[in-house]
Amino acid sequence: MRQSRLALALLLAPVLAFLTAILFYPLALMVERSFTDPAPGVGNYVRIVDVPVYLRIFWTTFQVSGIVTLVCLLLGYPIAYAAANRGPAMRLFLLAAVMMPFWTSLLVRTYAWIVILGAEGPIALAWRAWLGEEPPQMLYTRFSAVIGMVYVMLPYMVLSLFAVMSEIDPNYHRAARSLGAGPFRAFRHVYLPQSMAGVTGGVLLVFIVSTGFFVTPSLLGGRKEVFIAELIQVNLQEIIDWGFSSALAVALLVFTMLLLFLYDRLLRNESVFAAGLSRGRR
Amino acid sequence: MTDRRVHDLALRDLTKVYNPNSDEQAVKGVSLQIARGEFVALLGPSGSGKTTTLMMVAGFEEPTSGDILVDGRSIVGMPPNKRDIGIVFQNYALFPKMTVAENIAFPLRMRHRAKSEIAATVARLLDLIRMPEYGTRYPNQLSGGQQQRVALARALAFDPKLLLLDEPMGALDRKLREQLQLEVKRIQRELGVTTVYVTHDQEEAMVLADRVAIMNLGRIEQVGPPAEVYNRPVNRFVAQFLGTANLIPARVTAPGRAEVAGHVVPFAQDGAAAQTPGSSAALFVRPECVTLAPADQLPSGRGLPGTVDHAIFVGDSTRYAVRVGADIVQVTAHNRAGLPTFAAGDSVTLLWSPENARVLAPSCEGPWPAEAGKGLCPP
Repeated sequence: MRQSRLALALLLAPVLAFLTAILFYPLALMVERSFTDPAPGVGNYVRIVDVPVYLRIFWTTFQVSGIVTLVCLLLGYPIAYAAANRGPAMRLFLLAAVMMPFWTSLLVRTYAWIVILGAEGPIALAWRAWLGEEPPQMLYTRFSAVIGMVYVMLPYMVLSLFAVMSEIDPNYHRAARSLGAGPFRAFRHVYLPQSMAGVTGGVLLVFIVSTGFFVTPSLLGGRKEVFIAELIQVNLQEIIDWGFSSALAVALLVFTMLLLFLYDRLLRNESVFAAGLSRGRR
Repeated sequence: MTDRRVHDLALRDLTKVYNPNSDEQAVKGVSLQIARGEFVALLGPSGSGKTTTLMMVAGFEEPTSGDILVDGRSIVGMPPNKRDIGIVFQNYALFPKMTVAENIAFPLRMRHRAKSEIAATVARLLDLIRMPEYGTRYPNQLSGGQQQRVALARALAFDPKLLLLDEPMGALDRKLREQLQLEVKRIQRELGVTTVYVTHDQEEAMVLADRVAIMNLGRIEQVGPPAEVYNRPVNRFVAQFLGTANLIPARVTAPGRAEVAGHVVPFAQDGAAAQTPGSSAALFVRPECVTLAPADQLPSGRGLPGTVDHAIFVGDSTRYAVRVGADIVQVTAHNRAGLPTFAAGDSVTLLWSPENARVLAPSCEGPWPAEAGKGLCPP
């Protein structure tokens, strides 16, 4: 007993040391700095709350991230469903198509969208040719920011859903059908509840990563689509206000965790943690 | 007395081809008539087409040709949810996010039954499977045997026209299986629902079914009550698939007479093709139907002489392997005080009464109607 505990401690030591050095120590430094730089106290946090533009940036970040998450879910669910249930050929094709963007650099992909959505891009040209009028501004809007972010985040959503869906035995659907459920009710009452663990996982993953986005909203979004990450970067590299930057980062972390807590409460049964447990039990 | 809630099933020349480019067929012209309230087991090795047949009845596979009739009306093309057929799957397929009671209530909810009626039915079924206090549990809190019983209750909750079971006990250990077999049989008798049970376990099929249909390579080789199929197999496949069978190379010399290793032995005459005098054949006799006698106790000319190769004591019986010419004949003798026992090297005489032996063809050739298999292949 004693020995196995020691062995466990030794096995965990490297990863704990790594996390302490890379994650916990800098995090602690950052929290400390947010309360001490430039002067001890909560001044940095008061400033976030007091200046309307900062709160608006927080709101924009969460709002756009929420939209991105929702769009990813709506687009990703059918893709993952087809990949999990429509045979090996379909699975290979869809997963390859979804994974393809991973092979290209984020920056290149983002510039590709600038070309596609730009005033002289293919969409604008087609619009002028067929409708004979000027297309609406697509680039540098919330719309283009969302498109760019969805493009980046969709694979995460699809893979998270697919991982859960591919484990759902097709006999559940057959059982539901034989018991009198039509295709839609079999999906609604049997498949959907079982896929919720994947929905929860995908939503959390996409939302958390989205709130930390920097390059995509910065390049594709309009002047209004400033994300917190961008605000932090400006304060860090241009204004060189380390204390305020730290406070912004800590606030983002706290807000995100708060939202996650609420989300988990909302979906008590489908919580990622519960899902992990039930899978472990099998 | 005809109960309007008990239904019959007829399969007519049912065929399933998965790949139209090859003529490999999963099911090749299966015909079977299942009477009201009857319990029929489809028994066969994997790949024999028994599950495909069941899936066609359930509506998850469309037959390539042939027809499926319930009470004389075709159900081919009808979606599975309109067929009113209860199915118990191999892995039970209990919905993991629903409690036991919710699982059993599911088919009733889908039929928009009144809440009070649903509650009453669920309570009645929980009693039927002897799990009245398990309604609020979730499937993953139940043992395999309990899950199996809940799956059965759920499949029966809506008074289905037919009950289909697809190897429902494959995942359970032997002891539990025997217990559940009796339970399934009791419930089936109690409700009188027409049942088709797919299994590869011959003992299970014989314990449960009124009639057993032996399937091989997409065909039904023989249909009949367990004792008939066991005692009077129509061909070598059936003989060897059910229990242990001796198939001794023999040559038919006269009606009811065959020659084995230079000695004439009797067999039951029943008019099958392989029995014309002069033809070489396989003589079928079960190990428990052969009696061993000391070689010196019988006048020569009776029985088949042999030498005990080895003897294995297994408690209630002793299994002998007896060398006859170039072949080994298995003999099972019950252990009872006063009966002679033999050791390796002993000279013995093998005896059997004619009705316990028959001459078998290799396997029935070509498609033939299973209903003609009242024990025999057509000539």
